[in-house]
Amino acid sequence: MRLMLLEMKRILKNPLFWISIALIFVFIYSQFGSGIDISDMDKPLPNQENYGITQTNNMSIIREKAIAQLLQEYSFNSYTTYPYGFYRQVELNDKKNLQMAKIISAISGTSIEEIQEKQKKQQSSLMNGEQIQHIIIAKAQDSISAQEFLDLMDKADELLGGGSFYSKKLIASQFGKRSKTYEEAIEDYELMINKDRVSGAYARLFCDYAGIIIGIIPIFLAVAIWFKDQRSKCQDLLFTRKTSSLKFIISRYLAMLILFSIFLIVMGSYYNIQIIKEFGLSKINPFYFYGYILIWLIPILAVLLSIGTFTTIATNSPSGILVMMTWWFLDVMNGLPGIKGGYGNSLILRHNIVGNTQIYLNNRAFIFINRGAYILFAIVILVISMSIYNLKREGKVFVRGIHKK
Amino acid sequence: MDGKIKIKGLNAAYGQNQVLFDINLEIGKGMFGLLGRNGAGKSTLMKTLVTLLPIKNGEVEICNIPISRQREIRSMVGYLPQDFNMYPNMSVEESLEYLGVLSEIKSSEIKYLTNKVLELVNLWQDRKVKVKALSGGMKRRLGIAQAIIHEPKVLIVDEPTAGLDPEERIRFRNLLADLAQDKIVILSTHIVGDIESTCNHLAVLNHGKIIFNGEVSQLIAGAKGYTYKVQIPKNRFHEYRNRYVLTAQQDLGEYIDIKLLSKGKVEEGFVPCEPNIEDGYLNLLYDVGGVK
Repeated sequence: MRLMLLEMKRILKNPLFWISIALIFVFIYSQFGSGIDISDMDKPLPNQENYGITQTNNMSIIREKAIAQLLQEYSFNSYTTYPYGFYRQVELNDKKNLQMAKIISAISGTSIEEIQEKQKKQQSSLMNGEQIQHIIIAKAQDSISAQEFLDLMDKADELLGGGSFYSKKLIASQFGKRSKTYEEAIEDYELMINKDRVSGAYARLFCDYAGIIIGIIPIFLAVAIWFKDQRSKCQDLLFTRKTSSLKFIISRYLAMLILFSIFLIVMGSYYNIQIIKEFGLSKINPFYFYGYILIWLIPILAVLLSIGTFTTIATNSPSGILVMMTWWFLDVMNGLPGIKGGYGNSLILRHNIVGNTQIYLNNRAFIFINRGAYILFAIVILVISMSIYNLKREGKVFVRGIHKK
Repeated sequence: MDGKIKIKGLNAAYGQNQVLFDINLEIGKGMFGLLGRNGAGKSTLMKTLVTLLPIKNGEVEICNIPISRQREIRSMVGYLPQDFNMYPNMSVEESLEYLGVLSEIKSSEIKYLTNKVLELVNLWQDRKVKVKALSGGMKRRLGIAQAIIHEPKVLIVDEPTAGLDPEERIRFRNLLADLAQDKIVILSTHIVGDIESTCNHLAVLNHGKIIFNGEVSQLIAGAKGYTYKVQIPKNRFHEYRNRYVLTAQQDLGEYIDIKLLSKGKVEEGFVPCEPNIEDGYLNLLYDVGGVK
């Protein structure tokens, strides 16, 4: 305990900690705003212009939209993909163009020749795009099973080199969007009031923003703190003290984890207090914000700090920054299609909307498993770090100049 | 304090490179000198004793505790590494508190022990000074303070006086001598003068092997009968330097007074004289072919 407090004191004196806190604060504040938007909790009224967007698993809708999009792109032989999050325009060569025509033919039941003909006409403007689409989509609806459809679209994605919205992973989230009905909007509203007790809906948005920034910034401090032992050339002094590697690593790790968590709790409290003021204690649950921070955000910190600890101990280098930047980038990019409630296996979970409570409720068990798995992962990484640290203390491993004669 | 450091048949290596060969030593309370040239294996032996390096084979016991029981060894050994450093932005006091906590000193005793060692090493006035602002001598004193804050039975100091000015060096030796009243203190150095003024017992390491283990007087006695003084013209200095092991010299203008070791014929003008520890040390190296 005393060692952890001393580590906290050291961290609090480290300018990098305060820079990290400032960056996290600025990011969340700039995204979430200075206050909560209470209009998000307005009860939907009949005959509103729109009630927002929702996600559907209705294959008929997904099929129609996906085929329409694929035909559109096929007719111009120009496809937009996002491999690893980077924009890429794809133009298929003759061989692959023919393969794409075969896929569309298989999906729609239209002959390849007919499809190719339509592409030519489209390109020479003899027939407008909508006419072509209507003809083919009409044939496509019942020609193959849903599973066959998904498999074929996945092949189309492969043909494009991956990263398109036709992949099995993304097709539903991209083409399953549709406008909410009034009844659905009311249902969502009721869930926010009754299940989320208002607080939960805002807490998820808070965690969405906070997750993005704490998924990368604290790595710099974690690496710096461990790297400082080497840079200050005091490792031998630390190695020869009585304290066990377990106690030393855990104390330092928890010191970082607790300090970042305290900041998140403080910032969460700022918005929580506003919710209490706006809606009154009787309508909300004042503990939801803290629960979400604990379950949604702390695992991100836990993983990040363990990676920083492990990589620096194992390599005596700041390589952890590179590791985490790569991870963060891929995670954020992968999360983009499900930004309003797509959870997947990501470390950084997304839910960039006040609402969509049903999606959250449907995935709640999965989210718990996801978070638990990441906590377990962080623990395993820490145990490995301890073993390596022990070996270094005993001079059994030589990492980049340690014990160099 | 009871107990000794017992080293039997110790071999140690860096990877495939063996550095220590069949070391046998028994070190009791008081100041023990470990002498040897740079690269002789002194630091390797020190690091082995403080558990920073594994032993390849052999046995090492510190106060009846085998070296494999690292936690116990670490609690009873204080170590001042050759290249002592601490976090530059920490103050002297904070450094001691931090390292004291890492040594698992009881919370109730940390403050008392910190103040005690600060006074002992004469750093009380500078306790708020940051490590990066300390002079070489002050830093070395902080090094001693951190090594003794947990009241170890054994203190191991590696080349502690290198780079210190003469005054600091004397002060440092005296400090070590005081500490050796109730501890085993191992002083590793390549500076013969450090040993002469503080240690009764010493060992000499050469190429990873112990070539002498005994009292300082025995080392000196080894050169008895072979040490001479002679005054030579300056232009014959190179001739003498190539022919004998010179242990001292004094420029007198046209002449030079030299002190030398000679185990062969005695030339005209050679005056036998009493050897000192440097003569004894060089004589030893001469015997093993270390100097010519």
